Amino acid sequence: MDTIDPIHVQVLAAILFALGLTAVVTRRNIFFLLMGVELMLNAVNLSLIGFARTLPAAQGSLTGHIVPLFTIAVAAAEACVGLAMVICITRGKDTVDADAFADMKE
Amino acid sequence: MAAEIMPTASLLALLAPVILLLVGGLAALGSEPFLDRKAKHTWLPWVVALAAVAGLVSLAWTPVGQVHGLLALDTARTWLVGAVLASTAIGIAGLQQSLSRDEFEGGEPYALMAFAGVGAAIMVMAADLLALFVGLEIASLSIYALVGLRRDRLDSHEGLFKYFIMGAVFSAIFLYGLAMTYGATGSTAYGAPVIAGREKLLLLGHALVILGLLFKVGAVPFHAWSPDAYTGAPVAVTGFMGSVVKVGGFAALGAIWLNASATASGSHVGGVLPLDAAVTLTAQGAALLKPFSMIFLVLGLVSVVIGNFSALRQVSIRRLVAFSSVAHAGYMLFALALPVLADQGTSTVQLGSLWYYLVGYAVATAGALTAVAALSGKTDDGDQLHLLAGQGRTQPFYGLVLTIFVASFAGLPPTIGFLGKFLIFGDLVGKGYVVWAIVTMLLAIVGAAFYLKLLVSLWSAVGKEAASAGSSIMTRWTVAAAAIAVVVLMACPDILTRPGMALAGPEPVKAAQAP
Repeated sequence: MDTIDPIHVQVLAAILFALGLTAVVTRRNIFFLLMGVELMLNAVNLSLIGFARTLPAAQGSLTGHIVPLFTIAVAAAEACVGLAMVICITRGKDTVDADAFADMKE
Repeated sequence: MAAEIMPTASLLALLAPVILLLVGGLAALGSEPFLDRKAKHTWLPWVVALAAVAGLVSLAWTPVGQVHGLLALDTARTWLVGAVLASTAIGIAGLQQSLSRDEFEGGEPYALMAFAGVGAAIMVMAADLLALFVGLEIASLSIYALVGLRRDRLDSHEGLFKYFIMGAVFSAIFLYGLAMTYGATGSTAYGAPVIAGREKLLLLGHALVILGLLFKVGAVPFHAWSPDAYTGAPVAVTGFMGSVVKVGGFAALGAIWLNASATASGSHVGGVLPLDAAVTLTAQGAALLKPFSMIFLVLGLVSVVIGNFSALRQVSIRRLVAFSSVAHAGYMLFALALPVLADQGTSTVQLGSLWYYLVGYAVATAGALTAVAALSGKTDDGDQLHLLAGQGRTQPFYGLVLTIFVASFAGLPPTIGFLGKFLIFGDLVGKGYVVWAIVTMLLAIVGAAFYLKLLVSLWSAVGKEAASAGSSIMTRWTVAAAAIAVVVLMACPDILTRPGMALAGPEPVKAAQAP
């Protein structure tokens, strides 16, 4: 097997997305949560580019190449706000453990 | 009736209201470093609020149409964008109230609020998942920053942290849904026809997109963030985010739902579907969509139950509003799901009652929290029920407008909230869901109980002195305008679906309710 089928790209994207989601759900360090989110967004980019190759020519597959550009910009802005958030909240509590931020009552 | 195609409009003309608000926000951001602290809270809010009002006025001249299949404006969208701009102006007034009282060192929150309004307006105008995603992120990123505004407060940190992480995850889930929808249709436009053999992929993609949006509107089971984020935010931001995020999220949900109805019935002819369109659902389309609308109905009912019962125990107005917003999301899910359900084979999908409820909810929420910001005195913690006791008597104006907004939440006449609930319950009965209507009605009475508790506390004669640190002209004007709108809009329920200039008009909402 020496070619990469489109389905392989999708499987890889799904695995990366699942890994990112798992990191967000299980890791307790805030930086790992942010990295998990980034991994999810990049998995989606891979998926979009993979889909662009599977579409019939009539559909014009350019969208799949353009959307990731938007996603990259959004991911950068999100990382920006996320790191600003980390600075802000570690000034209050001096920890990057996510469990430390669970004081509010139901 | 086949779905109509919208005419093409010029980009600048269509976006004029949004551009005005954006320019206001940029002007505020650019001039912020050159002003001293007092001037920041005097001039910047006026710049942004006037820009929002100018955008609101310009809506009267904005054409109906669509641009490149990305953005569109029709009668319903015009009203929803109007609700976003009005909420922005009201939110700015409340923000000025809180920030000038706290002598907050920066003036950038006004610009952030303008940008959040721009994002929500783009979400409403979006006719394409990519435009929706960009609008969603513009709104979300600005609102994350607004939630964390009180940098020295631990509860603010916690609200921001939870909201940001969950929001980022659900944005990624939404985006994965976008990718799958693109993979299945070759396009990111709403309601694009599916490529043969990829129906399951489309279904999964739409499910993920809807999941992401349900989080944004705070419906059960994705509501866990809302009480903490709402409490962590300053009072004025709570009202603002409660209204604009809901408008954007439900507008997007409704647009996707309407397009899915048209596509599933085979009546989607390409182009952009107006939000006030009436789509005739064929038996085949109904069979496809019915399971989803049953899920929406169940989620709606659970939202109403959890929202109303949890709100009963709250003492902070912000937390109370958070849970009541979960309940309101439930009613709006009813309005979303019901048009698809019918006794016989075919039905007409017309989301007029959802848009109507949404506009009323947005204006009332923004107005109520801005009034609370004015009433709550020296700190934001003054929004506790026992601290508000008797404040209605010391400040009768804010007491009165808050009473009007709360009456609208509770669904009492003569407010827009009454008619919104009436249309939904009428629809439930008309579609044969009498038991659901009775149960929901009883739950609405539970909801009315905690609104009543708030009003009793507000007007009780405990004889305290006024807790207020004074209120600005802008706060008084905007909440007064919002209160008038809440009452006056009740008189014209079909206004949101009244035909636009170039569009064939669907029937008024009321006529559609007849069983």
